Amino acid sequence: MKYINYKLIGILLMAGILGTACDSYLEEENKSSKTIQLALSDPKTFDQLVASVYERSRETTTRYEPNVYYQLEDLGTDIVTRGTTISGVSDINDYVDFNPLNWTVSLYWRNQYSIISAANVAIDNADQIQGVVPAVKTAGIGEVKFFRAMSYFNLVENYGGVPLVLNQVTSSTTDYVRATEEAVYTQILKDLEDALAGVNETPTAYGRVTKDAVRHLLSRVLLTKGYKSFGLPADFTSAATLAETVISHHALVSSFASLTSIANQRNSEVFFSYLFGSSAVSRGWGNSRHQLYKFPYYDYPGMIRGNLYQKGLDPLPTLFFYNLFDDNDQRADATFRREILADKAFTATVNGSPVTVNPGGRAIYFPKVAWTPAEIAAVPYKVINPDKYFVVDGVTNAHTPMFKKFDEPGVAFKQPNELSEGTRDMVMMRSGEAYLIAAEAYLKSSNPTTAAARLTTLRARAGLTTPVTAGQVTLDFILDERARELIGEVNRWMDLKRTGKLLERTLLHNPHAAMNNALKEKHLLRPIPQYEIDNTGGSIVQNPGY
Amino acid sequence: MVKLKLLLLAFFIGFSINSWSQNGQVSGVVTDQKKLSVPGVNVVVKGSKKGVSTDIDGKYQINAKSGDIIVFSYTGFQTIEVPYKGEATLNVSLTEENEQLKEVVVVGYGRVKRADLTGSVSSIKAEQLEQANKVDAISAMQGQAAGVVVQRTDNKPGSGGFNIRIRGASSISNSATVSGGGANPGQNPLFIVDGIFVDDISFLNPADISRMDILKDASATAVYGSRGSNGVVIIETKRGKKGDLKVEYSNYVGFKQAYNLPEQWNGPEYVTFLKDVVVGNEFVKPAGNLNYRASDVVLSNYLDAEEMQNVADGISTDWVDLMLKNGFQTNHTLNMSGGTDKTTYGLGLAYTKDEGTIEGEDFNRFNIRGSLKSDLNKWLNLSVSNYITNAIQNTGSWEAFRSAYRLKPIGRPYNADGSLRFFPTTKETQITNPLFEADNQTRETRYLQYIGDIALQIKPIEAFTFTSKFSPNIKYSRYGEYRGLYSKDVVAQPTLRTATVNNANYFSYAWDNIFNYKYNKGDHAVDAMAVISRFMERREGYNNTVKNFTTDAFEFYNLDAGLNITTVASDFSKQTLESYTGRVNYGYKDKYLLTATGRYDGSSILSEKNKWAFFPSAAFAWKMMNENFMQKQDIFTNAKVRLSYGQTGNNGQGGGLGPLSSQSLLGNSAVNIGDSAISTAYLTGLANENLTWEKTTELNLGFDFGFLNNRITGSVDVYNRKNTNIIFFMPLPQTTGFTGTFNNIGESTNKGIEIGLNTVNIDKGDFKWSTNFNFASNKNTLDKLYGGVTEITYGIGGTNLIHRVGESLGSVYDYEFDGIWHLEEATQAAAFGQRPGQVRVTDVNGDGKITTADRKVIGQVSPKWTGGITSTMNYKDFDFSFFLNISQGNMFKSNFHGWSWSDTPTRTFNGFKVDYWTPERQSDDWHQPGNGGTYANAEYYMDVSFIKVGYMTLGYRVPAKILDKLKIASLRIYGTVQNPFVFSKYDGWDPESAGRDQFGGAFMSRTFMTGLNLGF
Repeated sequence: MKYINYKLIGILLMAGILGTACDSYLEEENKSSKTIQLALSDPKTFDQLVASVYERSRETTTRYEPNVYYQLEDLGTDIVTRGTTISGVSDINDYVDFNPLNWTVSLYWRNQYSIISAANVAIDNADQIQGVVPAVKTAGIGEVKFFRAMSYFNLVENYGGVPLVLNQVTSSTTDYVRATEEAVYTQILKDLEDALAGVNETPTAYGRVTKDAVRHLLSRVLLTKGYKSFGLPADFTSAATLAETVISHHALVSSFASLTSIANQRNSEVFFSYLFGSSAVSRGWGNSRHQLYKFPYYDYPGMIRGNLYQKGLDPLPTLFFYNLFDDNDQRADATFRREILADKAFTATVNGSPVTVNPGGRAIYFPKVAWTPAEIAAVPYKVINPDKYFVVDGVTNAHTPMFKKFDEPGVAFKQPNELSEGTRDMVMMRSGEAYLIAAEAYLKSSNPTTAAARLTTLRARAGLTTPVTAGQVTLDFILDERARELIGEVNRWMDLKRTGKLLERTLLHNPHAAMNNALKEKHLLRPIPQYEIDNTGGSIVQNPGY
Repeated sequence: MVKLKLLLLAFFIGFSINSWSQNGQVSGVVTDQKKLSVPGVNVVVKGSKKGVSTDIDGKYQINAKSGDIIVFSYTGFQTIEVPYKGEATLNVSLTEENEQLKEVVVVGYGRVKRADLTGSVSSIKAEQLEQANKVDAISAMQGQAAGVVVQRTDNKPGSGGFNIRIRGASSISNSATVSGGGANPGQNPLFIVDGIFVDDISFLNPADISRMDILKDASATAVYGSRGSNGVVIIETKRGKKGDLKVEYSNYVGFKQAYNLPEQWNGPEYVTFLKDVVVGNEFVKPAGNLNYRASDVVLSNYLDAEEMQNVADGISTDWVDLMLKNGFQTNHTLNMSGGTDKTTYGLGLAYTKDEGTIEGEDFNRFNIRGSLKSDLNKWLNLSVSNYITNAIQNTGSWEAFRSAYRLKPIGRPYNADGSLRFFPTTKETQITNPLFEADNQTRETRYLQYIGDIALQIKPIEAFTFTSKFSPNIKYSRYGEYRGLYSKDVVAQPTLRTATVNNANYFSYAWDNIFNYKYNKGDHAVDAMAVISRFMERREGYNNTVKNFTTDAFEFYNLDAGLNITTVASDFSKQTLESYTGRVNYGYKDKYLLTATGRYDGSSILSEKNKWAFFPSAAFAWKMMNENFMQKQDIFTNAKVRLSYGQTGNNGQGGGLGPLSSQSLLGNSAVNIGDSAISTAYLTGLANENLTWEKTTELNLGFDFGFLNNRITGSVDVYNRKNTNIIFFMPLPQTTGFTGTFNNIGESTNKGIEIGLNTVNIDKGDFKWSTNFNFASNKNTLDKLYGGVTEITYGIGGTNLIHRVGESLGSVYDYEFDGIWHLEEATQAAAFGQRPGQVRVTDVNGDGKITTADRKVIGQVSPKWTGGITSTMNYKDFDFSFFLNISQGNMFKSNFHGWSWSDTPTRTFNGFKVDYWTPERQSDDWHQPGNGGTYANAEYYMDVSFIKVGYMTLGYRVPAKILDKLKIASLRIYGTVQNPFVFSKYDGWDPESAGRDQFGGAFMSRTFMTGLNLGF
């Protein structure tokens, strides 16, 4: 009897187990992220989607990815080249075998479209998110359109016409086709008009996009468009007008040294920067510009891998760049140092006897005018003459005066694949450039006199008091001025391309590109990444000549 | 020890033997064919309840009367019945069963005699694992089963880095990484240890494994439905066995030695090499001087005064040699088991230590297991089992190995006073002396893993059982990393000292409710089973990295002492599977066997509309041997035909699909606006709510045979496996803003043949020689890609791959290496924009230029065929065996070779001793150093076929007459060399892990050891 009862219990138990089987068991959780449906009920989601565009834009500007920095901005131009001896070949700098499998052009494309994609998500979801204050929504959409326009501008100048993706991608579509260059420009201008209408005149917080930032970008875009076959004379005049507005709002800082001083990074002249700051959470990768244009100085006697000069990235300025400065141009001293001081004591042999140099003593020196061998032999430190910048000396292959324009003493020595951790603001727009945009726009509108006046004002700040005459103003003059004023800050390659000077000036002044002499007309457009062509099944077509 | 043994003996003899002193008492000794006594044999008088077991010496006593039939039975031996004729002593010799037929195979939620098996299942038994004698269970699987390809990707002690492919790549995953051994399409099979799914089995002590059954065809794996499509490996740990207490102790101890090291240049050779780099730098220029030669090079332009002095002093440092040491390896395993008819128990203790071949690498594993199974009453059985592993793995420095291969041989490892020098030359400020690494870098993983099960079996009526089994898997692991002041990454800068602690907390369980019904009547035999199964898995993780410490004293145990917090992160995810499974085995006249299986599976990680799927299968076997006509012939001693057809699935989990990935998710990060941290939100990926199950449909035809009185036994299987709706993280144009999405991309086929063969070559007197062969060949073809696409290209770790219709999945797709441009070909080279000394690739379309259209499929990463040979010889008490593991016909990009030849001469790292091109000696193997050209990549794709000798073992079984005096049941002592040789054209370090780069790598090694197996 008892036995049967147990059996019954057993059977009931089984039945119970059978009965509990139901759909609700299939549950999943992922507390590391939330679904967009959940997020739509929170008005803060909109702010976060907008902020994400800032983040992507900042992060892909400070580097393309760990180990790849600024390569499509300054390499292969008249003022920056690769930091090696004048031998060998390279794709981006020397334009030798620059092909669609190039990793950097693929990264750059990906980065720009990731910004566009984040902007599209913010725009498309703005109306679904509940409780967003209308003014916040208007400004936020304006801000992300500014970034979208900036990315399309970068894309169209580098690659020519590119696919216009203006909405959030929700399915795995692959059949993208390239819009014409003109259509991309039309879209950029449309976004910038919306941005100008939407964003605030004065920022609600430092670092936000303001109307002046939009005006400045718009003036760059119009100036560039003016040169195009579909450009209009009015593009130049509008560019000048916009630049004048920006200039009127942002007075130049009194001296260039003060402008570049880390103590004065927020000043009247600057109106758009990416912020990093000291918090590891909000700093992201960190500003990497302090790593610009430095050679492996630490391989020399007396030097260590310290946190004063930091690790450099590979590219170095050309001799042409260093020779651009007049003796009394204050920008030279504010931009680079010719003297590198010892971190630790070292002993050198001078005239057959050992000489000890103490920390703080001169370890490396770059004279502006070449020293004689006798002069060099008489000092205990390393002397590198201008003609030896790209000649191997047993220690490093290339060595040029070290940059200090972006210095940030105290930031740890980092390899290019590690967080750079720079905390300085990364200045993206300042009225110094507006003067140069205005000058170029006036020149192209046949008004060299006003162009000369703008250049005179800008140069006077650098201590060059002789007025520029209308007759002196040429595109080359303006490009030289841009080099002195803006190296490392704006995209030099796009400046040279816009003005039609890329081939001429690069082949003349970039020693590596000159040696290989491979730069051709086709290089005015970068190759479309093969990855895009492969993954669209060929609906995206390659640029001619690649 | 002897005392204790006697005590135990006394206790257990008392426990298990009822002895009466009555008339008709018969006694004797039961032995096996080798004349060794067999303890624990059941001896019963047929038709009575009288029964005893043999004692430790194989002796028994039982009451019987003349005319009785005495039955002797013991697992693994043929049961014999002896008519009793009244003699006082009856000695019996038992014959081992024909293992292949009597072997019981585990098939998932049940077991079946191999003779009655309808599907394709390979088994690895405890004896094979013991013979292979590896530190980890996966290594022990290598080469043991046809069609199971095991690629070891990590030589660090204790690492679970393996790629296992059963019958080729079905599902494809591109989550492969360089540290994972590079590209290898496909996924690891499902591992089930004692009923619970696990990702990795390196926590198991191989000596604790009772058997591994590898389910290969879809009819076998269908019982695991949604997770079966990559094959299933079922592992059972040792459990209690009925009989007297049996104590087994085994150990081994030995040392491990690095070998097969690619040679580097010594000091003087490096100088020659450096000059050749300088010449290459001249040759590479479009207008370079092709008459420039090594003799023109002014060395002092590239070496500073100190380096020049070192060269003059004849410094020639062999950095690799300085790093190496012999690693110690040992294992001690103690197993005990025993039990009565009602209760059996098993327990074990084990300790394993495995040191690497450089300082700082070691692995320590402690295992404890215990199991108990008991009939509580006639209809209720309870069993519990626990398996606990505590392990500590130190992978040592990840830089030391790489630094040793990079550093110039003209640097000095020691200062004049004998102390270690941090930078080998003053000029060198990047690569530090690797001898510092062991003391300055720690990477330690500790884990505690518990696997257990508790099962209740109810048998309300004779034919019916219900089992409810709950199996949890709990794993806590902690990874701690510390980079001290003099480690390479920290380069003596206190701000870069780094401490990382990652804690992971994993819990999963499977709850299986199994209903079983057996029916046997006349010609009909039915075995039906139904399972309701639930699986839940949850993981959480906490990761912290802090930098800038003022001292090395804390390692990673005092994160708060660091001044710079760089990572604080955590995550949590949970997912479930729910399944309803049924299986019916039907046998007619023990000639015709039919198995039908169905599984209805729900997976939480797929979208609402695709959560559920049904996976059916059917299999038929014909035991030809049992037909009358077969009884008349004497060629075959076994013949069985198997035919199966079935469907399994894959929910994408192993390929990286995670919880909630069918929905759009927002991830959060931060940016700085207005000098404060502003939270950002972004879409983590492109969700694909149409994603559905990948399905595998497989047809398998198998033939099991035995010839010549089973001197030759084996099986042949041919299969055709069709995969549809293959889940792949499909790369999307970056234009979308996403890197890709999980998608069902297409269909592929795997066709292959598998042969397993056991032969007794010689069995004469004292000498026996037997061999076990296995061979498998698989051909994979991508049949179709959905959506009108014909190919998908992608890259992993520098290897360029393609899924192209008509080719195998993940074929290597790049330019084809075609030698080196010679000096006299300068003009032809120039037409391609190339220079002498550079790598020449094939102009596939012959249009006179090299474009992306000249890329082609140049190889496959999966081997074309694989095999294993185990050969065992016994002479008297000696045994000798060796094992070969063979893998042929695959290609990898050798990331190991990818070093910096073209680096600028002042910094040139040391290089491998290879026959490179120089103007004086125009090689066609390797390009000119410093002048690789655009297509140098093509040179690194290499054939990585190999034959490895897995072990060579010589053993001696101490004869029973000696052991008897010591009261020991069995003792074997042996010496073995593990992985003694490798034969391969590949000239890197290890053809199995050619896809790895040097970072985090470890040497290939061989181990010399001795050990013993002791039984009481």
